[in-house]
Amino acid sequence: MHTLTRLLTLATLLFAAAVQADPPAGYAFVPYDEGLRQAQASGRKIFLYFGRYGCAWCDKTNKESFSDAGLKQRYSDNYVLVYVDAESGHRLTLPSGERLTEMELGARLNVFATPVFLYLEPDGSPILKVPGFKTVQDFRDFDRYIQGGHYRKMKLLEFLAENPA
Amino acid sequence: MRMLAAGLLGLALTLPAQAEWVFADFEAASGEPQAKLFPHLESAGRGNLAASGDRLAVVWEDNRDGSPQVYAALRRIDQPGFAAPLRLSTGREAYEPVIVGLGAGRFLAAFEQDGQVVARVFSAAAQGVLAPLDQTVSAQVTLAAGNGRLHAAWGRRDGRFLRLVSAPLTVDGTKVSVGTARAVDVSPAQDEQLYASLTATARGYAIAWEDRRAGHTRLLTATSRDGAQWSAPQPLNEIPRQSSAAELGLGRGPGVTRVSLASDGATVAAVWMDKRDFLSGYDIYAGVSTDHGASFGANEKAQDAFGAETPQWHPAVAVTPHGVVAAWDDPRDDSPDIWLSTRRGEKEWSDDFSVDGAAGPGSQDNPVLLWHDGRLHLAWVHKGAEGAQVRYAQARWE
Repeated sequence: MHTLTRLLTLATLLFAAAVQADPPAGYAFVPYDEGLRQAQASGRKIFLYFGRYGCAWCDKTNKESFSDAGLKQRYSDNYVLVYVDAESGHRLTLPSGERLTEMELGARLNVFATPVFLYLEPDGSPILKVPGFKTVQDFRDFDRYIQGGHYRKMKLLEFLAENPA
Repeated sequence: MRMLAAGLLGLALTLPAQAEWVFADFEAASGEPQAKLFPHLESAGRGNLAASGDRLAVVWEDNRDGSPQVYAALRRIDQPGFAAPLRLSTGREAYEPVIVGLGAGRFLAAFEQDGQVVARVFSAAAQGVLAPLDQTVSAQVTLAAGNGRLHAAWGRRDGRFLRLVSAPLTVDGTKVSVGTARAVDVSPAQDEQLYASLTATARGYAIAWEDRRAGHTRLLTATSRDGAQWSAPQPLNEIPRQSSAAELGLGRGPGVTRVSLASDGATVAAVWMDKRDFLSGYDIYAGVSTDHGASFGANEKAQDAFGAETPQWHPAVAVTPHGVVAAWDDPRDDSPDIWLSTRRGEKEWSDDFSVDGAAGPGSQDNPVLLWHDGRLHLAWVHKGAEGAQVRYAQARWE
């Protein structure tokens, strides 16, 4: 009975957590602090999605871009996936020991509008910040730029000009 | 020409000077900054300041004891110098404290501790026993004191959602007792109700909160004479003309969040972060009621155009005889500073103004405001190379 109760409690908590915000379905998004831990342990870069409850352009991105099976596979393989609800009071603990909320993280990273997508090194330092709706091809291009290490040598637009899809 | 100059000089000397907020008593409230010490002035409704008798108190959360805990600092209203912080929380972790004055230097603080909202009476000399306000998972408590009564509202976990409830409180000496908690909105919980702000009016109470039942966040308000029964929720924020994305069936509405209320009895002022102009992030909007919160006038943009290109955060509000005052932080000068604006007359807000001691090097953010007995009290979080601390100043209209 205790096991059943625990499972029901866990299921309730997981569901409750899932309805706090609206990341794309089927992706293994985790909170920011958990993502930092996973990235530092695995050495994978972080794909950080700043969304907002009810955000139209997040909705469009989810429906038109993140629904692509190939993109889902590519990003699930290449990144630790982090979702932040830009209006949430959900608490995060940074590696420095500082505690802040998801909304405060948005203020700290100067996130204006949603969606905003950030690519981060495994230690959390930013590589690239791209705001607004992006297509499947855009996300593929960003992935080529990040995973190929081109960001160390050139700007995104230079890379895309030299290496069209 | 000489006569004209002399005339103009004479006119200037005879005209009364334009009154303004004059700040003084800048000081730290939370003690010396330390490396890896992170104070937070976070709470539902930004209710972290209160006055009682000749004392002023500010409450915050920080990690000085190795985990997030709630602290208070007191000073005499008319004498600089906060006493050493008092720890109010007793559990593993505590967050989002709010405070009201009880008179004669006594205060009631409420906060979240280990997943439940609790309250405690304290003064410079003594602390009462910590009293749970709810037996279930709960958070985001807000307090109001007025007309000899006390009331609290908070979010109570109801299935998948936080649902807003309110209850009367009584204080006997240092003992806090809580009455029956009832849902503010009696319709079934359909989604989250978050970050409420409660204020006492001459006719009872007004409350505002974030409500997600519409598929996006709306700000709703309600009033109550006794805190037991609340009026039907009324929308506070206006929804602008549908965007092209919404017309395509995408999303539901613009972002609004973190509403704060203040009242002087009849006037109730609300401020909040509003992303209806989403390209520059949140702006500070306001709504003002002159009927005890029963209805609010049209939404007003509290900030001026000079902050249009930067996002605004953490709005707080006070109702004063010299107009409604809004405070917030924004990085228009490259790093976050505290900015204020005063509403003078019908829908007319002053130019934004900063305060020398709350702007400049480092970061100044998370303001809280209180109007009490002829003074405007302001606290905020300062972050610099030496660390972070809660700072304070007070102003007179001169």
